[in-house]
Amino acid sequence: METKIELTEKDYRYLFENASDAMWVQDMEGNFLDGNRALEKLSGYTLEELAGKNITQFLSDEFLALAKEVQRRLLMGEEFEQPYEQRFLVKGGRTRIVKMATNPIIINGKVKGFQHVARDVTEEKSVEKMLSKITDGSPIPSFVINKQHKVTHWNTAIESLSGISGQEIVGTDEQWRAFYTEKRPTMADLIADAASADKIEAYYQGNYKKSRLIDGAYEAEDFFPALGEYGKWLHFTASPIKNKGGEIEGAIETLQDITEEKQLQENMRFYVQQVTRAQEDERKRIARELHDDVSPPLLLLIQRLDTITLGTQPKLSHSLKESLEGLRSQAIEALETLRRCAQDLRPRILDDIGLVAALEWIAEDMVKSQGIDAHVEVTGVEQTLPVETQLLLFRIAQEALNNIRRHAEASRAMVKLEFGDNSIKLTVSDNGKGFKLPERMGDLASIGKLGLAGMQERARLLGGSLKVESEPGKGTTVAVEAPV
Amino acid sequence: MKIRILIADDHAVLREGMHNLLAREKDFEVVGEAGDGEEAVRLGSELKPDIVIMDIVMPKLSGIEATKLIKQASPSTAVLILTAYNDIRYIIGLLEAGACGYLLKSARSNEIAGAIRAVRSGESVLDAAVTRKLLQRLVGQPRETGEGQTSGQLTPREIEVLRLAAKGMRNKDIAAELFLGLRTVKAHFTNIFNKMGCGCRTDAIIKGLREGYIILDDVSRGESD
Repeated sequence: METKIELTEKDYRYLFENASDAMWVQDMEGNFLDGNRALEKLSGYTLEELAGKNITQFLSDEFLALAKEVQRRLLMGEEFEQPYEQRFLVKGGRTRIVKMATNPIIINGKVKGFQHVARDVTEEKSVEKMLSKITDGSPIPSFVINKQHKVTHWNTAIESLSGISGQEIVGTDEQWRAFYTEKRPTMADLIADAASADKIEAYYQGNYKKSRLIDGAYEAEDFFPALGEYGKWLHFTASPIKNKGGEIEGAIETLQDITEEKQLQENMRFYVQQVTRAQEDERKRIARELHDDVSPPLLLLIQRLDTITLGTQPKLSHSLKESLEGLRSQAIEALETLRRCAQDLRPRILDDIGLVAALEWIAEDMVKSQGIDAHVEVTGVEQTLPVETQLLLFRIAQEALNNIRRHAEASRAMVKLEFGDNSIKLTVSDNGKGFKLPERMGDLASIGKLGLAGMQERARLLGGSLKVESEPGKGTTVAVEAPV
Repeated sequence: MKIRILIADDHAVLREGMHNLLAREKDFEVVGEAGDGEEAVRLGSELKPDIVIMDIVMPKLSGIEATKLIKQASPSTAVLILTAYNDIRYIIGLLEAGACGYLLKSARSNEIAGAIRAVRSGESVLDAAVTRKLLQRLVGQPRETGEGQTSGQLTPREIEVLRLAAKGMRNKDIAAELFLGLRTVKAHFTNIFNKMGCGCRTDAIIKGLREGYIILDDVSRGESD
């Protein structure tokens, strides 16, 4: 059964009086005829005070012209956009900005006056204006979007960075065009949606971090090949814009061109890699020289001493024989020292027998010298790796074990080598005390974890990357995976 | 018959020293000298010497790669590698490459001569612990199929000798255990080597393990360390 609700005039009157938007009625001359409580709030006058006033008293010349134009169009039946923005000078000379709609009152086919509905947007407007002032006045490229992902601000600095003008883009949701060749969310879009860390991770794998200063804000670094002639590196931060109730209303993103800084970094990295290579070459050269040039004469000396003492000349006195024996022992000792030096520079076992044997060798050394239960586990089909790959993996494992020895206070360590079809993965883990990781791997060197930073550079030389997992009290796992 | 020896070392002076040292022994004959890995492989394949004394670091081809190739061309040749390192993991790597044993570079001339004779008589030139560790590693690896089968069946007595060798027993102890003369034990080893196409005890034990003459129990007994 249908219930028909009929509103009495009393009901309408109630709605009118209690509406949150200001409403009023005027005659053709602009005299106030009636209004509601919200109008009292907007204007600063009571309804009694308003009764004798005319609308023109509340409008500056510019906005009086607008009001007249609106009335003209309504009378002529011309189209125009409603609601429109209007400004009133209210009690105390203050200006209120409103969004309002106006309709003619028609009695017996004749227009007798106008009714208005107005919402006070002064505060919103001033915030927006403030944002405009801040962004436009800032040399930092920035833009603002609202909850509907429409661009509301696009400052001069970002115009010059992106080559896209504000005129072109404000009011659209095409902010992606400035950075990407295909449509995808910008950081500001994700923040405006209060996206989860997982979602942010999906778009900015490992290159982002939570802002330390602003709740809900994230910063990231990325390379944008579409920007400029050769692409640009940008560091960008997006923060949520919240209303008084704490709800997200939009987001502001500021960007910084860090291409030059990155290039410097890249040059530095290249330099570090060259130094790493050169260091290995140098170590190898010295080890080889010790082997090839220094030890043979010593060996020969030992052999000759041996030949003499072993008695082709039976007339050697006992004491002479003994001192020759002593010389021989000394020469052997010198040779041993020499070899230890060479071995420390470049373990022969790695070059002669291979990576697995070399890993087992250092693991056994951990057991022997530190009492740390170290094991090597090899999975997959073992294949011969290029010499440089073996060396880099060995150095990473060696450094990881050194770290365990020095810092971890571990009782167990595991070195795992996994041979895949097209890749090799090395994992070194321990059950030691662990440590707190920096938020980004790139920050390792800056927090003094130089050993890890060196491992990371070696991992890069392998064409792979280093993953470190650690937590205080939960041990540390260092893994590198590289293509072969 | 003299023991035919090939020396492979890229240092002429050391090669000469070794040559002089070996030439003093009446039962040795140095049949060739190689100055690099490739030459070692060529001479090893051509001359099929009883023993190759091989340095590791050599131009063109390392001593280890050369050992692998020589063992393919001449399985009955025993390779003794000259090394500066006697770390157990290192030695096992050498043995896995096919070496019968190793000689420390600073070894005395009588030790070197002794090692060469020991290899020929089937005596162990390795520490029992090294042998055991090597065999344990081999057991853990997948068995290679289609590998050269032993040409003649070993007799029960030869199998017994081989099993005792795998336990790390010296010829003297094997002789005592089986109530045989030392010469008889040596003769058994010569037969075992001929039948299995091996150059030394290590070879024969590895092959015996792969072909099922020896099982791990024979090896791991007494492993309490």
